[in-house]
Amino acid sequence: MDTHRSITISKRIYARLLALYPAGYRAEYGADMLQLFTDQCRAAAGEKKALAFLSLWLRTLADLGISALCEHMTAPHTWQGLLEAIPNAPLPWGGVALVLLPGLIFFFAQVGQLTGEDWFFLLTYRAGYFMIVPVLIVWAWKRKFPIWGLMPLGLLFRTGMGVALRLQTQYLQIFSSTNVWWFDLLERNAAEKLRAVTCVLMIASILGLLWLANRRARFSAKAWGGLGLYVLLIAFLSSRNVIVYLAGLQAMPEEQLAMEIRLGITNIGWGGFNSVYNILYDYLGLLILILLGALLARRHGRLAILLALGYLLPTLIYGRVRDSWPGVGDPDFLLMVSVSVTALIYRFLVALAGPLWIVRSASGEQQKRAGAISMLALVGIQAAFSLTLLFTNPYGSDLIYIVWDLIARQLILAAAVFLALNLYHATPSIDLVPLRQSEEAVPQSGG
Amino acid sequence: MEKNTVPYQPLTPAVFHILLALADGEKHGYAIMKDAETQTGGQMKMGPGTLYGTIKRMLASGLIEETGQRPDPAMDDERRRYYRLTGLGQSVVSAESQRLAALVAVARRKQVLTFS
Repeated sequence: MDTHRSITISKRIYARLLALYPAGYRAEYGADMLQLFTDQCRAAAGEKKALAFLSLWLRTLADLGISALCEHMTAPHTWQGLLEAIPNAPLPWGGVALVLLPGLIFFFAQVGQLTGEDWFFLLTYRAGYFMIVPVLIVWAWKRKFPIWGLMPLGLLFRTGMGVALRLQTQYLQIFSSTNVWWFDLLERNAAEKLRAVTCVLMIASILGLLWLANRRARFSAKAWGGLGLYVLLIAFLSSRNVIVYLAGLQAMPEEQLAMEIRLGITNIGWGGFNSVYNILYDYLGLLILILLGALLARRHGRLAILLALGYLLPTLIYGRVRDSWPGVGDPDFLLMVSVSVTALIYRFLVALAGPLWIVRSASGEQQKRAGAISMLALVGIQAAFSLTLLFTNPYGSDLIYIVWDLIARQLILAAAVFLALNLYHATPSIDLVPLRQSEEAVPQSGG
Repeated sequence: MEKNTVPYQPLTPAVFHILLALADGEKHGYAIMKDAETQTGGQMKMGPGTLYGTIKRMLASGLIEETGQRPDPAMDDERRRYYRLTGLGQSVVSAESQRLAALVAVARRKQVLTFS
């Protein structure tokens, strides 16, 4: 290849690569950079060394990668777009990549789980703790909670609740002042009291957050409706569990029940409370997160629904129903395949497709629609999945009871989404529209 | 009036070499890059991204200024953007040179600076 042609081709390639820089920077310095690179090419051609061009390209590519990243990180528009939602504009692609990062990790881990690898546990649970770290650093530095921190925050909240529940049930001595953990009955009493305190604290937090959020921006009728439906469904699931518990007691011989009550083995009040504790813990926790989102992430408008997606990430559908994959002729083979496919579709939706659609939607209304459809699809898949498992692998004889339970749980999630979407409507406080429009009007360099 | 150069110190190598390159008069981007390469015996080869990224930040902080576009008679007939030091830039490069000279004096005194 002759020298002149090498220079022309190099120049053309470099002109294309300039697209990696932010548009504003490219418009200001793109032509000068191309000119300088052409000068360097001419100098390299003049050196008459075989590797002069290769050496120049290696240096230039390293320089381009580092400096383009640096320019993107320091461009004010990039930062503002990442830290705060831009009114009537989709999130910039840099922000999209950061939003999708937790989802990518979880989706990757899900594939690992399907193949029987154990590292997905390490990946998912460690990610649950540590993905919040860069978010907190940026929050402390910029004094603004970044959009891409919403999913890690939801994830951390969920992980924190899981850890707290584990501590409550397994390490009571940490919480209880009476060091009686070796005595079953007393331990159970301590656990019940601790659970009651937890519930009271959660309800107090909810009332406080409701007051704060409503004072900041009056709830709409739809938001109150969503909240009412949510509370009704919690009450439905709880009362049904209490009824089942009482029915169990009624089935006991009267003398045995009286003796258990006298000895303190059975306490009807605490027993009823314990039977609903997990429902209260899970769904009061989700409500706290949604209300926190109304305050904490109000600048992000409806993009704050990503909080709920972060909460759902590590939960709900597991990829395998057996420890090992069955052969093709095995009766479980089709079940395993369908479970795996469902799990992958579900994770893909919750981790990647849903968030991508939401953050790339231009207006608040489009974000609302994208959020609602994504979440309803998730709820629908989960319901269908649970019902399929139920009919192929029944848990017990009371089919109607289980079906109602599943439907109520999906409805609670749907109500939570409905409530969140009608709470998260705040208009972002900054107006970057003129900046973006002027940037888009800048002609592209290169070629 | 004495300019406060402390907030700028220590300078990054790229900023210092660009200021040094412009110390003897205005230059365009390629001339700055070649000068920095010569100053360092070929060790510092700034790429276009590093050079213009640094120039952008130096313009913003008032260390250098643009003096217009014109062709370089020594190279070809392409129009090039020229840059020169501002008063602040001159003070900063002078202060940084003194800081480095003081460090070199310390190194000499401690006999860690040897000449081969």
